[in-house]
Amino acid sequence: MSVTEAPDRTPSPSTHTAFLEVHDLSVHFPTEDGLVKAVDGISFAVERGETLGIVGESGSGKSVTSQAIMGLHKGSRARVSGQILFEGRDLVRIREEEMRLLRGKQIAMIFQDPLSALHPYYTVGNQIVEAYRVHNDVSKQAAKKRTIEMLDRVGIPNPDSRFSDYPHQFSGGMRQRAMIAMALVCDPHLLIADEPTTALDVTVQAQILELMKDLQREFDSAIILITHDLGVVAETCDNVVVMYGGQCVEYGGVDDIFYKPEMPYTWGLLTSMPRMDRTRTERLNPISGQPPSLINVPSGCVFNPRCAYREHVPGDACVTDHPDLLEVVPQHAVRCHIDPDVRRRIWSEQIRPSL
Amino acid sequence: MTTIQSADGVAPIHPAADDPDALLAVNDLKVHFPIRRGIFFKRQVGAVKAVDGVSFSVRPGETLGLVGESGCGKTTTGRAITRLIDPTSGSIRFEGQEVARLGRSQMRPLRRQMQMIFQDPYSSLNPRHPIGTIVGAPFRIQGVEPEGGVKKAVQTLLERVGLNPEHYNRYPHEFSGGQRQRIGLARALALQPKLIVCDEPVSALDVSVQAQVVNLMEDLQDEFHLAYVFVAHDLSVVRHIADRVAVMYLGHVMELTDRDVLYTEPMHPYTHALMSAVPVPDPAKENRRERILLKGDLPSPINPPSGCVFHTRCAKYREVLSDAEKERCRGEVPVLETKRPGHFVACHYPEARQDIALAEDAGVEGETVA
Ligand SMILES: Nc1ncnc2c1ncn2[C@@H]1O[C@H](COP(=O)(O)OP(=O)(O)O)[C@@H](O)[C@H]1O
Ligand SMILES: Nc1ncnc2c1ncn2[C@@H]1O[C@H](COP(=O)(O)OP(=O)(O)O)[C@@H](O)[C@H]1O
Ligand code: SF4
Ligand SMILES: [Mg+2]
Ligand SMILES: [Mg+2]
Repeated sequence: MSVTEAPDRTPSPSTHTAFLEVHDLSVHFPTEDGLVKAVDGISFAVERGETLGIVGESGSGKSVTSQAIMGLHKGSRARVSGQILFEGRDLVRIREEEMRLLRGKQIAMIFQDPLSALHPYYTVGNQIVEAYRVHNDVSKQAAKKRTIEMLDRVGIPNPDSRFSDYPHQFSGGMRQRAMIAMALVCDPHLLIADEPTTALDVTVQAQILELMKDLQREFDSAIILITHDLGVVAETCDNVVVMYGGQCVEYGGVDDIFYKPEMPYTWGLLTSMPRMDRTRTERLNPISGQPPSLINVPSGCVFNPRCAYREHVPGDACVTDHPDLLEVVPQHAVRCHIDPDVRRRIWSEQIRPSL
Repeated sequence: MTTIQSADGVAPIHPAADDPDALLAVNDLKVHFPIRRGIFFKRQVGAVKAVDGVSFSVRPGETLGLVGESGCGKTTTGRAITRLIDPTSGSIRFEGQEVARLGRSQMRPLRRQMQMIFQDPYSSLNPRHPIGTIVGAPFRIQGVEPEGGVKKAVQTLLERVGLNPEHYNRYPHEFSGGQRQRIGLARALALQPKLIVCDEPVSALDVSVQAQVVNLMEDLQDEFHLAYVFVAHDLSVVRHIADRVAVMYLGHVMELTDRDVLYTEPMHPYTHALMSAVPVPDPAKENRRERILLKGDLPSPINPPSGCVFHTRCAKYREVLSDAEKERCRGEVPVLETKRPGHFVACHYPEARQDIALAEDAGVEGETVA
């Protein structure tokens, strides 16, 4: 690999290890067209009771990151490197059998499309019973009781009778709830939610996000929430990873990301979205161009072909040198060559007033 | 109410459709899809009331936003206006001419004036044709010979929507989602229509690309004096692009008014719920917002609730109204009425609320983490 041997500046406190720590994770796929660098050196940490948001446009590597944490690339052609430290173990290195014991029990996942998790030929209830019994040595009766409790807990009306329904008999929102019930039936400590509300109406999204928050309080779980919606991030997350072209380009607490962002891509996301909560602007301010190819990743800064602020960097560093993800203050890291003082000035003088 | 000569004879015209300057006036439009059963003889056993008495108008050069949850009838309304499907009843007037019951051949000259674009441009672009052929198709179908020839006209169009005219011979799969939407726009523009019905045109696009396409649509509107019926479920996008907005629920228009009025003082409890559910990209505002959660699922349009179709999920009904008032909600259909000038609301107990959309900058400064 190129210049990425920079020291790992993970925003992690040195005194203790976080509940989940991801260090310099890369996932590369060899393909006929070349090496797809779907995820390239991302780092973050999540504590129990906290929600980490991963935000970025489609193809930026969000799902591949979550699949890596779930160990879903094991046994495939994918080249996974870096560390995923979870309860004292490195998930990158453990074997598939060990991973299988964690999956569904300690770590669970929900998806955008519940039908990818629910089998059409089995009743919703029996699928949750099975998910429970894989990890818990209990009778069918006990598992059924637990399942009905869970269905009730996630807000499915008449859980006794809905237990025997098939997935297609549920509405979109109800299916999402059923999938959440299945993911949470074993009390996982870490829940990964990959665009859990993207296919839903905002009214149903509000219900589901509310439910996830309640459940998080109840079970003290850590949540990784993957989304492309900055509104959802503002509503639910404590910390945020902004991904672009497979890389983490900015990491910080939710207030830093929304009130003091420093990476031009984060600025671009904020200026391009129409907002309901601000004075209406005459024109939206898009980022020009298209997201990069992950096979021919731009040299230098991965964002440089679309960046409107390169003039603030002397010489052609943007095009030739890959910037490190550097902490500007504790817990806020930025991958950009512009001088931090200049970045702050651009944000407060140019960008913020235009939002 | 005035009356006009509609296709059914003399029908009352709803004030929301009563605009002498309207390019498009839709009055009491209904689209019911029959449900048929039976082995030898299919008989109708019911109907999906997808659109159930919708009225609105659109002026030349204006954008009317159509919002609401999925299944509320937005697409069906758009398809009925452009006559891709037949309305069950009601009137659709385009430049004063009744078009609701015109046949295919009678519609042909009007197709030049009214176009439609879709959420997934890919599914509406023939994958086996190069984009030059696709964008030029309207000329051939309508038998129009543009000045300088079809190829030149197509290249001008491609350039106008921000595509490279040299890519005339490329196929749809060679373009990204945003570029395909541009191709769809170029095709829709070919015959210089006066109205484009846009069905979720930017819903599938990433936010940075979405902004590019929204800006393009606004430029094209100014340049060609286009009117848009802009169907979307994203209320923030609609606030940006629309001049007026109709909020739909279960086949009905619940509220219809100017964009600025709707987003500062929405009156219908459904609009309140819908707007309060949109998460805004500001953590401090998110923390102090009241969210009006809707209970339960959308009822079926086959068997919609009595009285106000929204009463089964309405927070006001559930938490505020007296038993006598509730009875009215269950028993009497609220008509879409003028509650304030130009502000139509279909609710027995509407209430202008300024705390919902947060469309003001108030307080932001103070809350910013210093
Ligand atoms: N198994 C695979 N083989 C090759 N490329 C892949 C594979 N899975 C994902 N990719 C590529 O990795 C990139 C990141 O994908 P993904 O993580 O799904 O993005 P998103 O941020 O939209 O979730 C995309 O370019 C995608 O095409
Ligand atoms: N061809 C059809 N036959 C039967 N029902 C239909 C048909 N098209 C749409 N519907 C139903 O009509 C209602 C409105 O659909 P639609 O107009 O697509 O809503 P929206 O675009 O607001 O999501 C839905 O209940 C839908 O299932
Ligand atoms: S490093 Fe350079 S190209 Fe990249 S975002 Fe910063 S200024 Fe732009
Ligand atoms: Mg994804
Ligand atoms: Mg639709």
